[in-house]
Parts: sequence; structure tokens; C-alpha cells
Amino acid sequence: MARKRPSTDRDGRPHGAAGKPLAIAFSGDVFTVFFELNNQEVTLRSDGGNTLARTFTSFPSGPLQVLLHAKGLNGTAWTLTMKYGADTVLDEQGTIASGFSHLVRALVLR
Amino acid sequence: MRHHWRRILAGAGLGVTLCTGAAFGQTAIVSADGDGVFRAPGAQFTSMLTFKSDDASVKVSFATPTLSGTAGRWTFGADLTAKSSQGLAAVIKSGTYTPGTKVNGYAMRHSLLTNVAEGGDVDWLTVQVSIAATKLVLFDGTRPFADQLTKPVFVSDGVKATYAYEHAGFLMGGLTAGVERTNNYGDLDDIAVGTENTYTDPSTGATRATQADQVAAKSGPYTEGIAGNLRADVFVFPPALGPERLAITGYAATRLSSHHTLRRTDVGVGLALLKAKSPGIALGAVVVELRDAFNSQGAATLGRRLTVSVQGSVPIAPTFGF
Repeated sequence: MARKRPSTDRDGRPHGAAGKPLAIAFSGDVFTVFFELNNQEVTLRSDGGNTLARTFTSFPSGPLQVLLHAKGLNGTAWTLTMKYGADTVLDEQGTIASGFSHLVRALVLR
Repeated sequence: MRHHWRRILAGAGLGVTLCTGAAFGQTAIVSADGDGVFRAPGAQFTSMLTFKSDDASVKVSFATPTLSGTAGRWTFGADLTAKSSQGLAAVIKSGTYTPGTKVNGYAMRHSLLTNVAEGGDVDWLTVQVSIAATKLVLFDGTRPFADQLTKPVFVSDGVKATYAYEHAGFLMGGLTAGVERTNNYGDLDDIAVGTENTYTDPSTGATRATQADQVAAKSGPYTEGIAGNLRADVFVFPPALGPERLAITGYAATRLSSHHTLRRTDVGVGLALLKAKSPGIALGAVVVELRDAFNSQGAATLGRRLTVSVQGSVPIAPTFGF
């Protein structure tokens, strides 16, 4: 099903008013990770270990829909943290079950 | 590109694997050999330094930086292996280190038949190309004395493709097909060749002998040729085996060739201990393998034999400060 895509630049950053830095970090020995912000896929980059991360230098405030779909072996632990400026707006831990973890969170960035 | 590789080599994913016995290595998922049949997508995040004591090899792996998602994109990597072509036993027994080097490049793509954004299954395809140069030490007692010990360099190359599928977080299967230039060096008998010097003691008149220049070598009908390889792997991770720490791995590998001394079918089964909260990483394993299960090589070489191997791994990252 086609999703409505917000207006973004080529790095996936929404156009609009300047905001605070948004830092995203996912850690876990999983096979694949699929990550969305406001219904648009955002790629996270490997650090060479088991962490995928991405930082937007200026991210607009407002509602933010977060979706994570991670696949791996059952029992694999993972963490997802998001910081908006100095504030931790999301700090989630999970464990892969039935081959995957699916996380949906609705945030409001202030 | 060079910058990225350097960064990954300095990453936190370095580890060392200590093995004894038959070929059993690991990348990130327990695999029945060191070539990474289950080089799973997540393994692309990891660079690894591996030491296998059964063939005294040291392997360095690295990969291109990986993004999340990436379905439909190829990622690339390579391994560089330096090893003794005769195994650790030869190094210990005779002090002989006969060098061999292998370069293995691969391309991988995941989520071919599965969707990276949905479900619990994931599949991936890996295509590997390798070239190796190995110095061999062969002994043939039927030849003239000066030609009995030869040390040719064997250059092999090959290509293979592996399709793997992981289902529901507990079951993985892989099918591999390939072709390579190979030999039966590993199936020959291990021997130690020494030069004996004799002399007559001038005071007593007795004849005495001294051993010098002892060299580890292989003896038997040496053959080189092109061989096709077929392999099936399975990895089961049932909750019933414990608190998500134990897994069963099994494989069957067949080498097809017009030379009967190059044909071989190996089957193996193993029990692996997995890392807590990261079961994609094997801490150790015990593997029982039946080599040359159908005794297709006959009595000329080692033939059908049962081997038991033990593998353990120790992370070395803190030691090296990465």
C-alpha cells in the first residue's frame, strides 16, 4: 500500500523549520533492521560493530511516528535510543521472538 | 571506500576462534567450515580475526559499511587467510611451517524472497570468489633419493554461490553450489621426513647416527583437478534445548570430480553454545564428522574416517584496544 511521503531532502530529513539534533542508535546482533520515521524509511549506518546509528543535525519539533522492524534469531537482545537535543525521547529494549521484533511508538518532539 | 574499510577494521567486532580437529569455523553463525556458509546479513556488521588451530590459520574479514534496510542492494567484503598448509600438528611435531594464503571476496544481498520490513523470515544470497596459493610438501619414496621430497606451489581458484533462508528465528538452511580447482593433499598420510647422518666413532669404531632437517610432509597418490561442490547446511535453534543458548548444526558436502581421489562426501553434526542475548554468535561447538562417508577414495588415502572436533572462541577486542 502506497504511503503518503512527507517532503524531505535527499537524506530523508523533513524540510521545514530548523529544530534540535535528533540522534538515533540501534544496537543488537540482528540480521536486518527496517526503520521508519513518519512513515518514511530512514537508513541507519553501521559503525562496524553491532550498532546502527543516524544523527540529524536539525530535526523539526512536533509529532513523530517511529517504526522499527528487526529480524534475527530468537533471544537476540536489542536496544533503541533516540535523543532530541539533550533529552532522551525514546529508550526501548527488546528481545527477538518468532524471528522478529516490531515496535511502533508515537512521540512528540518538543 | 578505503576509508570505510579502515574504519571497520578498527571496529569493535574482532574476535578469535580457537579450534582443534576437523574443519569447523565460524563467521557470525555456526558454520561447518571457515568459509561462512551462514554469512548472515548481520555478520556484515562485523569484522573478525579468526585463528583455527586445526590448520593453524589466521583470517581477517572485512566488509563494506552496511545500512539498515538495504534490500535489493549488494554488499561486498573479503577475507584474507594465512595458514599452514599442513595444519598445526605439523608445526608442533616438526617445527615446519609451510605457508598458504587465501583471498576470498564475496558479494551478498538479503531479502530476495522475503520483505525486510515484514515478518520473521529472512533470506540471502552470497556469491564468493576465491584464489589461494599453498606450498605443499610431498614425499614419494619410489622416486630417486634426490627427488623424493618435492615442494610445489599449488594455486587454486573457485567460485560458489550460497542461498540461505532463516525461518521464525530458530531454523536456518543453506544450499551451496560451486566449482574449484582442488587437490587431495588433506587426504594424504602425514609423515615426518628426516635426513640421517651416520659416522664412525674414531675412538670406539662404533657406527652412530644423527637426525637432521626433519620436515613434515604428506605421502600418497597426490592428485589435482577441477571439482564441483554441493553442500547443504542446517542450523536449528530449538527452545527445548535450553535457555536459548544451544543449537544443533548439521551438514552434508559432496565433491564431484572425474578423479576418484578427489571425490568425497562428508557429513557432520554438531552442538553449539551460543552467546547469551546474541545467539548469532557461537562461543564454542563440538562437531562429529564422517569424512569420505562412502569411502569413494578407496584405500589409497585416509579414506572414510570419523573425526571429533572442539571449537572455542575468545574475544580479543579488549586486548587489542579496539
